[in-house]
Amino acid sequence: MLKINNLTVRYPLSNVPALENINMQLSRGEIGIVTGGNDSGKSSILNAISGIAKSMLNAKTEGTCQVDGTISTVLQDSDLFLMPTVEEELEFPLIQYGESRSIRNIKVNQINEKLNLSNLSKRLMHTLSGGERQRVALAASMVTNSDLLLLDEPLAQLDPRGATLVTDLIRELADHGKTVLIASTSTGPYHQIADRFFWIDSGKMHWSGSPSSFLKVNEEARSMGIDVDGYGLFNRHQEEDYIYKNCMPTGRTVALDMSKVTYCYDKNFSLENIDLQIKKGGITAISGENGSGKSTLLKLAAAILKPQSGSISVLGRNIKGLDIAEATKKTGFLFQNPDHQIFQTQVDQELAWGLIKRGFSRSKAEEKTRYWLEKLSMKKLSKTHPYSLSKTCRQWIALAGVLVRTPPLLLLDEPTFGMDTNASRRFADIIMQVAKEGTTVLIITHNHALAAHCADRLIAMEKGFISN
Amino acid sequence: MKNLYVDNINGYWYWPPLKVKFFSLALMLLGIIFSANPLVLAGNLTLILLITLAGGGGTALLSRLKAFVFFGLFIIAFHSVLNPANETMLFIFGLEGALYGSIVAMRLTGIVALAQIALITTPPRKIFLLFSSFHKDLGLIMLLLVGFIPVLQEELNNTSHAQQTRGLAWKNSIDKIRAYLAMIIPVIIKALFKAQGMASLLYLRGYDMQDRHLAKKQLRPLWAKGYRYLSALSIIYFLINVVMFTASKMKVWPI
Repeated sequence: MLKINNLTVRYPLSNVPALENINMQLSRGEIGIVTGGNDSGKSSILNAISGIAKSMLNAKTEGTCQVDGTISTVLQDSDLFLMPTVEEELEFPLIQYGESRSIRNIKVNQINEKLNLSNLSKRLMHTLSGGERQRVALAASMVTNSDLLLLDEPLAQLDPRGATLVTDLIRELADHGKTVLIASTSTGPYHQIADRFFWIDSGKMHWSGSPSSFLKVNEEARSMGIDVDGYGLFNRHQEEDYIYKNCMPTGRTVALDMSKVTYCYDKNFSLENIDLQIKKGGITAISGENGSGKSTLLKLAAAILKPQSGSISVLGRNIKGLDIAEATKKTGFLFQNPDHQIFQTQVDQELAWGLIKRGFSRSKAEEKTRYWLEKLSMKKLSKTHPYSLSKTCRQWIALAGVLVRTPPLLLLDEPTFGMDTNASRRFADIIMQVAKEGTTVLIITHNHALAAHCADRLIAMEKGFISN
Repeated sequence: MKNLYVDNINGYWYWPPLKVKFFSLALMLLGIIFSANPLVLAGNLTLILLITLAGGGGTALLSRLKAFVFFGLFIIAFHSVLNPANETMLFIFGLEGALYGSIVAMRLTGIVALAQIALITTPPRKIFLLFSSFHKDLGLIMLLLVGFIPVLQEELNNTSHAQQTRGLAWKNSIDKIRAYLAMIIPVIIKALFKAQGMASLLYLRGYDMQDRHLAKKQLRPLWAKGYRYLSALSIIYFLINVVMFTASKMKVWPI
């Protein structure tokens, strides 16, 4: 079905080949997992197979890559879409394949049912949450009934329920004769369904074999940043070293106080009568299903969204009527996508800008920037252009940009998204250190291990309601 | 987030087939382009507004024209002060210039209003299908063009929020110019990333599936299918210009 011989891929403007002498084989009905740490070349394999590497990214390829049948692909960046509404997005590939209208309708309905999308079909794509968008992207690739499915981090933004739905569906497709190749930093969720593992390390095939033999190299994989245990990104045996709960809430002062907050989005209730109190100090993790209003909650706390009713006070100050810059004077807000904010040509200038905007003098800002770059071990990057770095690096820069101000309240939206285990661990260490120094931290995360690892309070949200 | 299309099934702008609607809109457009009397233009504009208010999409249209009103007022003020044809002066404002400015402003408002009506009352997929019937790529170009605007708006919003949480605020106009840099650069970079991603996505979703394996090296002649409509459109454009030019030479309109 899929046969790759001595594949080498070189991207333009890069001296090192992204992939070198890759050999792999998958037969009909098999599920293969390509795994490896950040920037190891997982996505490059999928791009080479689907043809984007050659046609879109102008890469030079050597060797052969032979596929019998049609291919469909899910890209890693699920924020991408083509059509305005979900329905049209799913219909688009079918139009391109020349299907008639009635068949299009039947197929779209089928896939909607399988992936639980029926209630979204009239929604506009740009109003969907990340997880919902990812499910739509999956559906759009499955709707054409292709022989080979290439999925790049298909579970990245999904909640556990959505993830099981998708993995079950993948297994079902494979049982019906489809071949699936998945690229992911975590292997845990796929142990049950996979037939073969391919472990890529810096562009070379490091190891390949069956799931059961993969268990034997687990320890090594762990140290390379692959999440082998499943749900989380943390490794049990290391977790015990930590004495957590050491940053329990101190005192009675309340850092964030929401009372009877209601927020509607386009006449749909997003949050209804929320009461939430976060004590000063400590880390609180918010988790919940896709579209349950987690991000809305954080945005309300930063005055980005204005509640229809109810009052919010941050560190004892009611933020009603304040503009965003004023309301977040003592709050740091980290967006999931670092590219929302990076605009300077050098990393250190990028960090200093936020400080200068908050009224620090230039010399003071530079001093603080140096301190934090050293603390986050990014000192050698300080003069580089942010956009020449990988996305994970830019996430760190964005985090550093928030931390330099040492705000008393820190709001983080999916900060470890797309990071491998090593990076997430480093992230957790830094956050716990910051919390110990007296910062109140609020994290939105799907990563249960991260939540269990560093949070001392877990909030679960469900369709706009809060349960502790 | 605003979307260009506003759903309102009861409005009669939503009933007619697309070609009929676009044809009638084009006729109204011609009317606005050729009428030079400010009273006629004002009448035209009110008529368009009344029809749209009665036929659905009116509130959306009004809210989108709001920003344009200031632009129109600026044009009038500009001409009344600086137009060389000014003779009858009222303090520093010339009457002739004001008249001319109001004609230009109303004409522009009319054109924008008609374009907005077309966008407000037509679901993007219908635009896609209509233009696809002319040429396969044209529909997609229109759709991406129309669909990309809300995406960019959202990106701009996100960036503005992100920068404001980092302390970006504008109190005077110099601040504002500096703020634009911090907002525009991330948006442009994200748009570039997005464009590349969308191109990949188009390729992956099977766009151009039929042509992909055919010989691409053959250049088709100008009049082959696909270029025909573009050529026809540009000829029409040219003809309109010729008509306008002769009309102005023949003093069809006074100014």
